[in-house]
Amino acid sequence: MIFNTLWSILLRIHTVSVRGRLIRPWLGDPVTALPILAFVVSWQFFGESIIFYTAGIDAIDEEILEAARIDGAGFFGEIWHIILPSILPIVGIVTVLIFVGDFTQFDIVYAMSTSMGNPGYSTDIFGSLFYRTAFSSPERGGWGMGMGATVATMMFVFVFFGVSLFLLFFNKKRAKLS
Amino acid sequence: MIAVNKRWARVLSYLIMVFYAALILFPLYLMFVTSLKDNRQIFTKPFSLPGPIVFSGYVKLFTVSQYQIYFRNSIVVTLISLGFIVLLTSLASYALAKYQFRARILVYVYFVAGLIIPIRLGTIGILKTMINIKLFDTPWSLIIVFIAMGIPLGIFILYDFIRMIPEELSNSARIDGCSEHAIFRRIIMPLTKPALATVAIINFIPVWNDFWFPLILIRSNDVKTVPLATALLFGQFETNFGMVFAVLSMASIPVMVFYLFLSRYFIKGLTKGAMKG
Amino acid sequence: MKKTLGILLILTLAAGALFAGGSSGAEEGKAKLVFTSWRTEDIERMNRINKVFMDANPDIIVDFQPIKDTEYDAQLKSSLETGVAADIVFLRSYDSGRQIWDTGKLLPLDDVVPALADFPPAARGAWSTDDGTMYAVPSVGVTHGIYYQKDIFDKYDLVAPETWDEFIAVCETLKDNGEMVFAQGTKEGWPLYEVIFSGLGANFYGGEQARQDLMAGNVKLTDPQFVKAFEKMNELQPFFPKDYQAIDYVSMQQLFGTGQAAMFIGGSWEIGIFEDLGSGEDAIGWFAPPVENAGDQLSYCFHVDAGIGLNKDSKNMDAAKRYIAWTAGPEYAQLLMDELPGFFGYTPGDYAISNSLANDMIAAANGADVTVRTVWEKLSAQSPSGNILMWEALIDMYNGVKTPAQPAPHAHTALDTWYKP
Repeated sequence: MIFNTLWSILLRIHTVSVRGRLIRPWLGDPVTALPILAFVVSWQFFGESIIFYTAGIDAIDEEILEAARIDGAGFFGEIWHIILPSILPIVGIVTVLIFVGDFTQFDIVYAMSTSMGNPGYSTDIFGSLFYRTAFSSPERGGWGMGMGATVATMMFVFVFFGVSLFLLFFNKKRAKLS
Repeated sequence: MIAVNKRWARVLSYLIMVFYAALILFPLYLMFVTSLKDNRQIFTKPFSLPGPIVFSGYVKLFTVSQYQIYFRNSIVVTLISLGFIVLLTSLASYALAKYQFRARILVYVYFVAGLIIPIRLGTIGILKTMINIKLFDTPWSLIIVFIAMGIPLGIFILYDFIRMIPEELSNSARIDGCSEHAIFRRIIMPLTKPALATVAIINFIPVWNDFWFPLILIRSNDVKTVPLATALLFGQFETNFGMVFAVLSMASIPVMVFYLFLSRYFIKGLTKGAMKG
Repeated sequence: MKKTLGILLILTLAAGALFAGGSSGAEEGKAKLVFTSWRTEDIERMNRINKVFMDANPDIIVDFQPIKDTEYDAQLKSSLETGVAADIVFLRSYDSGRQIWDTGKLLPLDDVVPALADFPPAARGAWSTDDGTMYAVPSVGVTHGIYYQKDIFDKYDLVAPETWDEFIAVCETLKDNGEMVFAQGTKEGWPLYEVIFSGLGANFYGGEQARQDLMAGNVKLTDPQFVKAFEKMNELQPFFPKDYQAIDYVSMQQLFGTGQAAMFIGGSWEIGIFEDLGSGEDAIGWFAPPVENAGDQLSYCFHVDAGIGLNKDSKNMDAAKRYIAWTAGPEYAQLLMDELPGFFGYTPGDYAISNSLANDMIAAANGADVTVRTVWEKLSAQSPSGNILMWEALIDMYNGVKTPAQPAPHAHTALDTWYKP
C-alpha cells in the first residue's frame, strides 16, 4: 500500500529494457492496461485489508473454535462455518472502504498513465476525469470548475448507490447467518 | 490465532506468506539497487547489483532539487496532522462512548459517514474555501484537510475500543474525587494507547503519501511535500531514473521507520476493541 | 495526555517558526526572484545561465523552479489568480499564454523592455493582444524534423531523403534488413500531433496558408488537403516498432538515444536528451520533413514555443524588470543557445550556433514556408480543444481503430461546436 509510483516506474522501465524479448508491455496495450491498473490499485489495499482481517480473526473466541474442532470440523469447514460468519462485518467494512477508495482513485492512474488515461483513454477512470475536467487547462482536456463539480456530483451518486447496495447486501447476509 | 494443525496446511500457509513477503520485498530491493545505478546500467542490467555504485542520484536530490525542504514539509505536516487526529478523535470518541446525550448516535454516524463519502469529491469546495480564508498555498490548508481525512476512521476504531473499557473503572475514580478531565487522562488514555497507535499508523500512510490535495492546494516551492515535488519535478521529459529511485527510497524510509517503531502496538490495538463484529 | 499536548504544542510552534523562516537560502538585502517554467529537465542549465546574470547583478538572486509541463498551465493560472505565483513566468504562445494574460496579472512589457520593438513580427504576434500590447519577451522557438543514426544509415548506404517517396524507400530498406525503423510509439497523443502531423504533415496540407485559412474558416479539416495529410502520415505506421501502442514518450527517447532505432521523428528540443543518452552530434544526423515532389518549397513547422512574462504582483518589481530586460538581450540569447542547443532565440542579432544539428535545423528555415502547429492558434482556446481532438484522432488512426479518412471528421465536428471564425 506504499509504493504506487514505484510500481508504475518499474513497469515503465520494464517496457524499455525487456521490450519484445520477455513479455508484452502490459501497461501500454489498450487491452491489458486497465487490468494491470486494477492489479496495482488492488495492491494498494492489500496491507490494510490484511490488518483488518487479522484483527477480526484474532478476536474470535478461541473456545468456539475448540468446540468446532471437537465436533470434527475440518480446516475449510472451520473457515466456512465459523471464521467467515464472524468476520462478515469486517468483510463489509473492507469492501466498502476499497470501493470508495477505488472509485476516487487518482494517484496511480496519474503516475502510470497521466491524467489523460493513456493509452487512448483506456485507463481513464472517474478520478482522472474529475481532475482533468476541473483542474487542467483546455489544451489538456479541462472544462473548468463548473464541469468539474458536475463530474464530482456524478461520482457522489455512484458512490452513494454503490455503498448502499453493499451495505444492504452485507446486512442481509448477516441477518441470514445469525 | 487459529492453530493450524495439519502439516500440509501449515506448509501451504508458510508458502503463501513467503510469496507475499517476496512480492513486497522484491520491489523494495529493486528500488534501492536501482537508485545506485546510472541510466545505462538500469537499462542494460535492470536486476543485477550496481556495477560501480553511483551516488549522483542522491547528490542531485539535495543539491539541484532541494529535497531537504520537501522532506521537512512532509514530516512537519504529517506529524502535526497525526497529532491532532489522535487528540481530537480520542476526545470525541470518549465523549461519544461514555456520555449519554441526545443525538449521540447521530453525531457518531455523522463522523463515521466520512468513511463512505470520499473527501475528494468536495475538492472544489475545499479549494474555494482555502482561497477565501487565505490558507491556500500554506501548509495549514493541508493539515486541516488531513485532519478531516483522518477523523472518520479514527473515531470508528476508538469508539468501540473505549466503549469496551469497563464503566466501573471510571466510576470508582469518580468516587475518589477524580475530575472528568483526570479520568480521561489517567485512566482512559493509558488503556487506549494501543488503539491510539493504530489510529496513528493507519493514518500515517494516506497522509504521508497524499498527492491529490497538495496538487490542488500547494503552489510555492517552499511548501511542497515530497509526493508533490516528486510528481511535479519528474515531468514528461524526465530521463534520470536513478534520481527517481533515490527519491522513492528516501521517501519510503520514514514509512518503514514509523512502522517498525509502532508495530508492536499495532495488532493489539485493533484486536482489543473495534473489530468485535 | 499532558505529554501529548506538550509535544503537539511544541511541534506546532516549531512548525510555525520553520514555515515562517522557510524561504530557502534567501540572503539578507538581496532581492529574490522566482523563475518558473515547464522545462523540469533544464534546472542545471538554467542555473548556469542565471549565474551569469547574478554575477553581474550581485544584489539579485534568481531561483529557477520549474513545474512538470502537463500541470504547468493550470497551476500557473491559479497561482497568479491567488497571488502566490512566481515573479518571472514562462508563457506558451498564442491562446495558452493569452489565457494567462486574461487573468490580468501580467505586466505589459512594451515600456519595460524597449528592445521588444525590434523582435520579428511573427514572434511578437504570438504574445501580443489584439491592439499590439506585448506581454512576454519571445524567448525560444523549436523546430520539427527527423533524426537518424548515422552508422545505421551508413551500413545500408542510405542518405538523408528529400522527398516523401525517397523517405518511404529508406524506411523500406531498413525494414527489409530487420532494423527498427522508427522509435515511435502511440501511447501518448501529443507527439503524434505536435511532431508528426504538424511537423511532417504541413508539407501535404499546404503549410502556413492552409493554417491561416483554417482559422479564417475558408477551409475545413475535412477538406481533401487535410485528409491527404492524415493519409500520408498513416503510411508511416507499418514502420513503427513492435508493440508501438505501448511505447510512451520517455521510452521513445530511450529507444532512439541508445541507438536501437534508426530514425526518430522529433523536435529540436531533444538534442540535449539524445546527447545525454549517448547519441551526440557525431553519432546522429537530422533532416527536414520530406516534401512531396522534388523541388517543392518546404513547409517548416518552426513553432514559437516560449515567452517570458512578468508577474504584476512581484514583490521585487525593480529586480524583476532588470532581469526580464536582460532576457531580451543578446547575452541571454547566446547563453541559451549554447546551453540548450535546439532552442532558437528570437532576439535580433547574429549568434554562433556550435551544435551541428541545431545548425542544420536553422539552415532548413532558409527559403522555407515557416508555420506553427496546425490547431495551436485560436483552435485550442476552448474545450474540446483542437489539441485534444487531434491527439484522440491520431492515436485511433495509428492504432487502427479509425481509417485515415475518419480523424478529420472527428476533429472537425467537435471543433465546430464552439469555434466560429
